Amino acid sequence: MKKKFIFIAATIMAAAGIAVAAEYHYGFILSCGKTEYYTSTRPLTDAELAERAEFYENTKCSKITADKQVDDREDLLKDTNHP
Amino acid sequence: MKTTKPALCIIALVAMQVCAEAQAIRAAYKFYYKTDVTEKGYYVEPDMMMDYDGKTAAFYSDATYHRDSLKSLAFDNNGSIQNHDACGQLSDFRSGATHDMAFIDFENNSFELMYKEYTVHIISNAENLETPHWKLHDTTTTSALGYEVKMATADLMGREWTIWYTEEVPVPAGPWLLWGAPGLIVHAKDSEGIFIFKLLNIDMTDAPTRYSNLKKYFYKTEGLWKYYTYDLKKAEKIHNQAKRDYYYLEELADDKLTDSYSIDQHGNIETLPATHPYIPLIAEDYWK
Repeated sequence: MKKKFIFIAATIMAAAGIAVAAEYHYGFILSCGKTEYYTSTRPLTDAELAERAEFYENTKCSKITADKQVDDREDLLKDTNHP
Repeated sequence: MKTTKPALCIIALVAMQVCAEAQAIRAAYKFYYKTDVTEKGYYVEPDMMMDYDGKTAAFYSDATYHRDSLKSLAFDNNGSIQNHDACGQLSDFRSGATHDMAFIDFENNSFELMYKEYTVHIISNAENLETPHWKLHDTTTTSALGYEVKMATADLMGREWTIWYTEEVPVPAGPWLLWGAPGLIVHAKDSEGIFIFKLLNIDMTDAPTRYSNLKKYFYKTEGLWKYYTYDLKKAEKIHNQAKRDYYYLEELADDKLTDSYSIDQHGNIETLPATHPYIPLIAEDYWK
């Protein structure tokens, strides 16, 4: 009985170990010079990779890319009542 | 002859009306916004489009429209690449543009807001269209594009908006849900200075607007990604939280994230912040 218990426990631990070991590592080179590393417990599809790259571009590069920069130099923004 | 002239005029007027109805307008806007009221400057979405055809209006990012069109060609229903040319062309369009869209159906007097963050789609059910009660002011000036513009103010969804519109383009539409003015909105700003819409140019087109295609692309990945549809109040609440809380977004995406960090050019390690500042166009006080 004790041997059976040890065997079952060992099997569960081994299975858990395999589950922990199943990791997928990805690196995304972003337009702002950063590299984003992402670890997932399952492989990502091509479409997911594209979506995740887009998400990182938006969240990681939004302040320093040309089209998303914080910009208070435009005349329009200083003249609050003029279209 | 006396009777044919008025008849010809009526025919001409009817023909003009038909032409006017057939012609759609695409107005490009630059959208400035803050994610925190203390921020000195603005973030910019440089290519927001407003398509209007008399029956419907759609407000969306041009880059997102093109990228979503290409993505629908590039990937199959399992998310694998099926068209390498389309996939390659994705880089021709700006990555990271907003996926937020507003749709107005004037015939049914309704509107829908659609948001997408990562693979999570949050949609508001069609709501009754609220007409801003514009108070027209006498102030008149000339816009940077050369239009004679007039000022109007109104409260809409918890914010006080000031707009400048031009009667030279007699279209009762504008950016986002700002509509109902006696002419196209050329410039709009809320009273707190958090949001600004600025007209860049106008195109008249006989081609159909992108209203239907935008909706089609939005739902195209319904079997692949997560879709959440709620009434407007709940959709706003869920979307606002997803914008602010990265782990909540991952939860909505049903993703099993284990680790995420970035390394900059100097080797500095930065983890993805769990929370982000965000200010929605519909004021949160509006729901209280």
